[in-house]
Amino acid sequence: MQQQYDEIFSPLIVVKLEVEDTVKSFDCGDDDLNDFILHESQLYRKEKLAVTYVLKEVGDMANEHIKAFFSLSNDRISISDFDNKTKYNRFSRRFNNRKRLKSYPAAKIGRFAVDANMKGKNIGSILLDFIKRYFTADNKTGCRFITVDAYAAAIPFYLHNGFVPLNEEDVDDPTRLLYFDLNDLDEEE
Amino acid sequence: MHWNIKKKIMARPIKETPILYGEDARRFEARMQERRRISSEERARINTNYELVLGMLKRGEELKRQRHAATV
Repeated sequence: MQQQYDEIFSPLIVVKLEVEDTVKSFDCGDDDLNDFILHESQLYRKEKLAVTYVLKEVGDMANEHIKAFFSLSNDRISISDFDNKTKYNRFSRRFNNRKRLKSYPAAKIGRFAVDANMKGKNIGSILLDFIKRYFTADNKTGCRFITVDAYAAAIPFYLHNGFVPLNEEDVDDPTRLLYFDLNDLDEEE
Repeated sequence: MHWNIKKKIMARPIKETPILYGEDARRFEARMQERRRISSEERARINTNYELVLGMLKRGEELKRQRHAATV
């Protein structure tokens, strides 16, 4: 197994895309995800809304054959004392400075995809493990949860990796919000 | 979604995380209080994969720095 990993990963690097970086080619089999990395990740980077990381070969300077990517941004999970949004809005209009909200810091995986040629090599799970640990190891700020806006086809993958649905509202949507509690990684006391 | 992005993008925008109300909020808080620790094997696998990708990220960022220095 280790030898297999070495063969797959030793020629690869991970790079954070800058505003001026473009990706020339990527195909994960989903047009929407392809469109994001090929045309839109730069906009998110420019507006400082999300940072995209790409997995590629050492010599692929022009991002011509990237193997996988993931986009990360800051997020929060807020919970209200109210039963629904209408009651909450009515209250917060009347008592603007007392919103009765609790918020927990989170990091969001906005988009995450593996190129079709690299599927079946466990790359998705390896990168997801990295993301989980990245926000607990030497974290500069607090972060309790990883959230993800998961495409319907990827939901079983996230559930298998310990994520759970945030609510029931988006059960039939093309994407669904899931979360992972980083406290699950703590060692037993 | 930030308006500056929304007017420019064609792909599906990244969904905002909503405020949780009612049963969703109660379920979320209850789950936060639960003690669900991963197994030591799973923790070891996560740590190994983290170190693997962190190494690739460090190599990538170092190469980027070297290329940038060479062009300045």
